Order: sequence, then C-alpha cells, then structure tokens
Amino acid sequence: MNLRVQQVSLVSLGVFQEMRRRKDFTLLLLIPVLATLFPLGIVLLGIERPAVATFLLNLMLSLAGVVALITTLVISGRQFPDEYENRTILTLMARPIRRSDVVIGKWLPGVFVGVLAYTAGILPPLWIIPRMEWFSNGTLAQMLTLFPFAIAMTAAMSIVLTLWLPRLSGMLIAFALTFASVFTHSLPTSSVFLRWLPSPGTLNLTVRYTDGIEPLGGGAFIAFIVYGSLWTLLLLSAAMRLFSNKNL
Amino acid sequence: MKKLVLTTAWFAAWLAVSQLATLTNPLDYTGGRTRDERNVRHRNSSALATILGEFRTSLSDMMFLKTERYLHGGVAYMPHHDEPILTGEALADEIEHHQEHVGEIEHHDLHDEHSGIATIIPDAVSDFRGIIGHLHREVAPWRHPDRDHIHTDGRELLPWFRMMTAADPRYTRGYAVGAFWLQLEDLEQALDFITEGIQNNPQAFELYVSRGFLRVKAAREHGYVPETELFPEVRKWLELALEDFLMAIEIFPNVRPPDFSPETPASNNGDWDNYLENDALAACTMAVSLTRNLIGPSEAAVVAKRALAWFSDSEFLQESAQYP
Repeated sequence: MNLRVQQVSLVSLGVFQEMRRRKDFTLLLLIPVLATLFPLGIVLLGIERPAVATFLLNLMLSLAGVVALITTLVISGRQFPDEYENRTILTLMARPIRRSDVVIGKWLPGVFVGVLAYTAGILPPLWIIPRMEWFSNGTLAQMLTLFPFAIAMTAAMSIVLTLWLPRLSGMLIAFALTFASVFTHSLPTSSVFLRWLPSPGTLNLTVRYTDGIEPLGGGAFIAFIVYGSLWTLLLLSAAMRLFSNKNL
Repeated sequence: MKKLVLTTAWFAAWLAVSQLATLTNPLDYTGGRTRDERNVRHRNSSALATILGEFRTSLSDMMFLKTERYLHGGVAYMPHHDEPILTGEALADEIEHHQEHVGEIEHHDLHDEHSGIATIIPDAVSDFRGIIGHLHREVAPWRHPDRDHIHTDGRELLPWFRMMTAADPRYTRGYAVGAFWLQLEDLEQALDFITEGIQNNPQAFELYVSRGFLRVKAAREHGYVPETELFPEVRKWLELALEDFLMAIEIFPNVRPPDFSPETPASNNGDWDNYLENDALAACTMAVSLTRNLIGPSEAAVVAKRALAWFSDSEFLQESAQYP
C-alpha cells in the first residue's frame, strides 16, 4: 500500500479507536432503532390520509439528515481540539507524517460516520412508510447521491473552524452555517453575503423528493455536485494550511 | 511563487463556487406539497401533527402554524378553516370579518364553523396526562373548546408573512395572504409585497388575481363607485387591475387540467385545486366586469365568450357573452 495512504489510514484508525473507546458507535445504534420504532408505531396506529404519510416521510428523512449532519459536526469538530487539549498532537506529529495527511485522516472518519448515520436513519422510514402519493425515484436517487457531499462539506467545515477558532465558537458557527441554507437563496439582504459562505444544507433534496417534484436536470445536478466538491476541496485545503501554520 | 499561484487558485475557486451558489437552490421549483394549502391543512389536522405540537421540518409550515395561533390570542386550535377561505375573494371577507372582532370574544352559535373546535391541548376531561396536562393548560395559552374564541389583530402576523416568503419565495400563499393583511395597514406596501411575489413567481396566476383585487380597492379609495363616472385616478387603478385579471386569464389555462371538475378526485388534478378554480373564475368575472366599465359591453362580451370555454356554467359569463 502506498505509504501516504497507509499513514492517512492509520490516523483514521486512531479516530475510530477513540470513537470505540468513547462508545460512540453504541450511541449511533440508537438512530436505526428510533428511525424504525417511531414510523412503525405511527403506521401501525393507522395513517388516515396520503398527506399524513408524506408528512411522516418528510419528517423522518429530514430528521435523518439533521442527525447525520450533527453527528458529522460533532465528530469532526472535536478531532483537533482534543488532540491539542490532551497534548497527543505532539506524539502524533513526532511521527514521520505530513500535516496534510493528518487533516485527511481526521476528515475521513467524520464523513464515514456521517454517511453511516444517514443510511441508518433513512433506510427504515423508506422501507416502513407507505408511499400513498406520487414520488420520483429519480429525485430519490439524486437526494441519496448529493447528501454524502453535504456530509463531506460539513466535516471539512467543522475541521477548519475548530482549527481556526476555539472549539465552542467554531462548532457554533459550523452549526449555524450548516443549517442556514434555507436563507442562502432567499433573504434579500443576506443572500449576497451568505453566498460566499459554505452551505451544506443546500445539497439536501429531501423536501424536493417529498414534494413529489421531478429530478433536477442534468446541468443543475452537476452544478450541485461541483458546488459540494469544490467547497469540500476549498475547506480541506484551508484546513491543511491552517494546521501547517499552527503551533504545536 | 508556488504559494502565490496556489493562493490565487484558491480565491478563484472561492469566487467560482460563490457564483455557483446562485444555481443551486434545492427549493427552486413551483408547486409542491409543502406549499399546497389543502395539503398543509390535512397534515396539521392529523394525529401525528398533534403529537408533534408546533414542530415541523418546513420553516414556512411552522410559520403558517404561528399565524393561526396569533389570530386566536396564542391558543392552539385544530385547523378549522374550510377551503373557500383559500380563494382571494373569501380571504378578503374573512380578514374583514376577523378585524371587526379584534379584542372581542366572538360568539358562535352551535352550527357556526368556529363552534366547538377542539384545542390542540385537550381539556381536563379528555386529557389522560392528569396533573401534567393541568400544568400544560396553566402555562400555555389555552381556552376551553366550548368557550368562544378571542380574535387578536391580524396585523401582528405581518412579520411572519415576511419571514415565510423570505424563507421560501416560491410560497405563493404567503404573498397572497400577507398582502391582504398588509393592505389593512398600508395599501401601497401591500401592492409592493405582492409585486415582489409576482416577480419571484411570474407564473402564479393567483397572485395577479390578488393584486387585481388590491388595485380595485385602491380605485375605491380614490372614489370608485360602480356604474358612475370614472375619475382619471380611478380609471388608472382600474386599468391596472384589468391588466392583472387579463394576465391571470392568460396564465391559468396553462396549469389548469383541461378536464377539471370540482367532483374529480384531487389526486387526478395535480396542483390544481378548487380554490385555484375559484380564483380563475374570479379573474374571468372581474375581467369581464372591468372591461365593460372601462371599454364597453361588446369588448366585455369577447372576454366573456373566451371565459365560457372554462366556466360554461357561470350565469354571469353567459349573460355578458350575449351582447348585443
């Protein structure tokens, strides 16, 4: 295996070990359990109207998205502050490893866990809740494709902000930016300003899917993918730069 | 040198991605279930909505709930307005009626639509929560469902409509209803608000209908009385209103199912609904009526004949089409 890939994998493995020690995965198990029990209970009680089934589906898919993004924010946002607070960053950097590889190694587990949380949150409702109105499978496929980009962007943003700012302020700003997307395109006074900031929620097509809207056109879909990829690259490169210049 | 190139590339990419943000709006589409008033009412009157209280995943939906609470002094009732209120004309009547009773306790007889409407927080008899339910009724705004409603000034809703349409500029009902409340305060601002709605939703014919009604109101404020001499200012407002109603007639056939009938199951009609049908009919009758006042009966007959293609049952249109 390429040495750099090996080093990135080792850093990621360290993150997973830490998560295992903290019993984070046990907490993650709660997601599919709750995502199964709540809709199942409602379905068993009886859904009286198609609008209510759609409402339930929208609610569960949106919540799965929110939980996945928050999980990503928390996991990615604590990586560097924890290393600095525990002084383990000195041990890590004493090894022959590039700082950029450390950033990638710490970013990947956040993305992985975010995607895992999202998958665990959406599969039960998609399976349990009856589709009583028309839904586009194309839009569903686009939603499922784009959301991992939102998670990747969120993880990178969380890392940048917690490298640049104290943990709490960084996390709060990352949280606000993640969920401010609803205003990015609309509020006349803020749209110009917000357009310059990363907005992972933009890549969430849940409402489009549950509204029964046709898929995005090819060009628009590519624009969404480029938006997510470019922001992730920009944020990761900013994180690498910040970490390179940061004193240990 | 390499550092400079990389920094320049980074800023160039930042510039590109910020421009790309204008092309990536996930809510940039017309219609949709979250914006459909009838759908919202079905959702909000369900048991699931009762369990969730005011929690919703759509911001405009949450704000819509807020507007209903505000109208009843914060007391959360089950949604109880029926469909006719969703049309432009009925909405204006309802708002007028509501404002007449601001601050008063509204008395309803047993058969009134507002009589005996259940509250979201149940009364002591039907609340299984015991002391918790009692505490809930004490700390949250609540009235016994058998008691009459208290109406609060609907103008307090205005910030919610501003937020609602800011969060989702495609939410046309937010513009239409907000403009009708705003006109009580300032007609000019109401016209600006609904014009903003039209700019954001140029194909939403119901917004043209709403603006048409507001322009007729402006004409009335300048002294318009039907079948009397039209002063220049009045004529100007009526001509603008006529433009709106004619524009609505141009647009709605593009979205109305050709075989629509009120009896057809809603699922077969896409986004088209009875309240849109009523708005379309209102656009036709107003266009005929204003054409007759401003231009003449023969021109009004031409408009009426065209409108009969969609509303052949309308007696008013049939009579207007018979000229000379």
